[in-house]
Amino acid sequence: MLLKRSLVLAALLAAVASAAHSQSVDADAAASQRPAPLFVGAPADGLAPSAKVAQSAANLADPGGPKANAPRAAASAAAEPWAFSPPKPPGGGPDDDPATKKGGGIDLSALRYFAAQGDLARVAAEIRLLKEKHPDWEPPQDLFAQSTNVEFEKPLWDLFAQHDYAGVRAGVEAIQDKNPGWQPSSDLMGKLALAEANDQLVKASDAQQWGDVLDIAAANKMLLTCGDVDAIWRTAEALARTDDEARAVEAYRYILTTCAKREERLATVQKASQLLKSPDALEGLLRLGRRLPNGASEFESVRLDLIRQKIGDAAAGKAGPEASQSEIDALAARARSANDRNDQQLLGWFAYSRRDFAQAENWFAMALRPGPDAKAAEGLVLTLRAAGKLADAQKLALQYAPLGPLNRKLMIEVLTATLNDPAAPPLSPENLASLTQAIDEEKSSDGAQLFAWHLFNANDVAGAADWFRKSAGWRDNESAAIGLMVTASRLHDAREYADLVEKYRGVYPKIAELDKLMGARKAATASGRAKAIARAVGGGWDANADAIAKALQSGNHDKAYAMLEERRSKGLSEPAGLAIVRGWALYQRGDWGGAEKVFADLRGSSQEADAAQEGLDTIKRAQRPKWDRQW
Amino acid sequence: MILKARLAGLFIAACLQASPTLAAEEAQALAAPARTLAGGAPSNVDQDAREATAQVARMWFKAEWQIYASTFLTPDGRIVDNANGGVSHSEGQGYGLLLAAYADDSERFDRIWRWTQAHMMVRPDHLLSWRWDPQKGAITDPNNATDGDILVAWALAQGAQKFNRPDYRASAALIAAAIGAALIQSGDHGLILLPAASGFARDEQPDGPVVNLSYWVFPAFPTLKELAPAYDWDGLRANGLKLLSASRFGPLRLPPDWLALGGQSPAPAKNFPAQFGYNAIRIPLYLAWDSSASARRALAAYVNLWRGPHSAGPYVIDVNSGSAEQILDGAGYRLALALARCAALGLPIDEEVIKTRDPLYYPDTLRLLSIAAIQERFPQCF
Repeated sequence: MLLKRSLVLAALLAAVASAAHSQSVDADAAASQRPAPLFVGAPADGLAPSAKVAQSAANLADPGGPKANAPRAAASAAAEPWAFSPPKPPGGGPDDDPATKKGGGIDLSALRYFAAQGDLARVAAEIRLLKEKHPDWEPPQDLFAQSTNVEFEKPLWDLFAQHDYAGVRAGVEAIQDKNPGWQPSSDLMGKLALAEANDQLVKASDAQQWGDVLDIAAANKMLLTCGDVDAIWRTAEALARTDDEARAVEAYRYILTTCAKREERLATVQKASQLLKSPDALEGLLRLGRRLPNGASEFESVRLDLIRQKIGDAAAGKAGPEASQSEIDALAARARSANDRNDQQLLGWFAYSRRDFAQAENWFAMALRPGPDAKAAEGLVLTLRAAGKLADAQKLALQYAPLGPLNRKLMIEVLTATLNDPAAPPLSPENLASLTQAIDEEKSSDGAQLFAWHLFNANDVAGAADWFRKSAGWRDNESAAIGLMVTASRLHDAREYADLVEKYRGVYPKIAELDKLMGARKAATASGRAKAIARAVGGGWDANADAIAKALQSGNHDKAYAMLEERRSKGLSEPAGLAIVRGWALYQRGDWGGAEKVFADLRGSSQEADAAQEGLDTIKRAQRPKWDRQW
Repeated sequence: MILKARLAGLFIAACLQASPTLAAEEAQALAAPARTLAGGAPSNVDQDAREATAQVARMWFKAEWQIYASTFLTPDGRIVDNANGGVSHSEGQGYGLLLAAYADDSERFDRIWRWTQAHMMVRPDHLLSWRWDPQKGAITDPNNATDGDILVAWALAQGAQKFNRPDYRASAALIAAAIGAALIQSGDHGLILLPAASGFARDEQPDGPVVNLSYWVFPAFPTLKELAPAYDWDGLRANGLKLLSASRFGPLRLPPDWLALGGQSPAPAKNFPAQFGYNAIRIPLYLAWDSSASARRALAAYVNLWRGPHSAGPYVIDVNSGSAEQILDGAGYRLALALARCAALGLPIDEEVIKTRDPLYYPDTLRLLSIAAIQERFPQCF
């Protein structure tokens, strides 16, 4: 069964979006949905017993004779099974295939057909004819055994159709008790053996016992027909998983050159695409696609799905085979011609991940043309912000906020980040109202503290205190704690101040430092240093910045550096405090030159000049020769 | 009382009128006894065709036997009369043995015989007690039924020959001798076959002795003669044919199931329905199977009954009025008559009648017996 492509895409897009937007505080519910496999095994073809009997009768039919009465044989039954065999020992003889042996050279098919039909007169006439041609020939005594067996076996076929194979075996024994010497038809027993083997094969395959799968398949080659493509798939998977890709390809090739069912053919290349490592082998299979009436290849959709997979993986930062430019172009052409907004979005995220913001903006805007779409809107806003188009980012973030919780969170994020960015256009009172309302509704701790710093910087200390309180109430964080201390100090609330120091001293190292500075200067006025810390914290400091600082503090400078890079790739601001962190991360990684440059740039910044100087000094000391240091 | 009413069926009130030309048709039938093949001297082609047909008939019979056995034969060797409470009777065991012998099925033959021996041979006189009831797990009437005895003896003799089992023949001889000793009697109407050791003799019925003409299993008589040569089987056979011709009553001139011989001339027995019914329907089958000239002459009485593809029937007939009482529902009844027509007139048998299986023991047994007769004697009817 093919999973609907849209579902695959939805999962793919969700994964891409979540990777691109890991900054969002809450995980997107959809993103947690892992992309489902493209297919599951189709059930084996369950022929009704009557159909089986008819089919076997038809197989016996003389093509020149009783054709008019003969039920049509299923096309699939005519094909030879896939000639899978275990690797041959060297010098092994040719296969002894009983199917190629002919009974005495006399064609009994018409005779057996008439007998199966119970057409006694024609059986007699046929016997006479055959005897005329072959005077020494005697008719087989079991001519009507089939009609007897049809009677006996009716209930057995019913059990068979219900997949009660143990029941069939028990039924055979019961009939034999009553009818000594009776033998069930080879048709029934053959199909029973195959069905049982199929069950074993499925079981082994489900248990990933690949060796068993191959043994069963080799011992039951008749399983491997178009009537049971699932068995071939499972065998092919066992081959692929045991590094016998060549024969796995053979199996897939057998289906594509022999079997007719459209969905099975499609599922075959999809399975191959998941299991085969060689792109050439897969390409070879895709070329076996038939030409459709509209001129397209049967497997065009699969090819596109494969491209989507590659592009999706690349957009989500997963390792894997890269899409070639021609593949990207092919999907882009389809996204435009079919006006497929899923493909357009996918290409948008892909461009975004490559920091090709012009293309990304283009695709997301195209995807939004038919109407609002939460994910496409998120992509567009992120793209605009990353491209530095802050005014547009603000505008669209506000416009799309009602589309969904993620869009509202993104609006809070974009707007609060620009609040404290002098380069960004100021917000109108209505937009500020929308922002604060959204912060309240989302209980956005980060949004609240960033907005609080905005108020603090505008000298609305009481207003700032309110929002710091909200922020800390929703989720404790260092920035809100500092904000609360500073506002308490400014509002001369000594008791509150003392409580805060008491509460946070052990939690956030900066609190003690701040308290020392403020205490030295009599807590009534905030010192320049305290102000600097506060401003450093306020200037775009957020939860992500906290996390990066924590990573550095815990000694994980590589992780801190990676997070800094990721943050930068998203076009987010890097407050001076975080630039210090970057400097130290570079220093710890051994990139003294890089670190020196960061610290040097920061020396001019009023906020972190001291910290920058300390960094420069450290580097200078470290650069001295070893003997010098002892000194 | 050995009244074997077999089936509850549909009562048909239709009255079959006697055909004024009946006698003429009978004469015609008798005049053309050899029209069994296309006519003229049999060519090689005819011979080949006949052989091929016989071969097919044999194979078909064997296949049908498998199905019959799986339907009516229990694993321990008991033929079940599923229309009569699942009882078994000596007749059924006899038919089972006969069919097994014709099907070359020695294994089943032996099982049926062993069961019969163990459960029905409880009399001191080597006759079989006729009815065994699975509810009681025992014989519920120690009396015998002569047709059952004859069938078992005949079949055992065949089995002895086919399967090379002298012990079967020894048993067959004992039974045949017991029949000769206890059941062949001479009376006012010549040699008769009593239907049972008790209940039918002169002093046991108001119009006794009472006989059942369908108990004269004519094709068995040559074998019985070999088995028990001390008894006058030829005389018995000849008198059976004579009684048949003397016992045709009513407008349809049919014999009754039960015939009283206590009076001046044979008459339908008083204690039994005056019917041509489930018993007598076997008479044409046995006559056809016998296929001697005299038997074929007797067959003429039955060849025009329910003849033609659109004819209903056969029916249970009130022999006095000729009215139809109840349909004999089953392909086996139709086949027995079709066989008679083919044996006498060379009229081919509709293949459908041969192939239509019956879910009930009695009609399906008649069907298989007819097929056995066909494959043995009348492959051209196939």
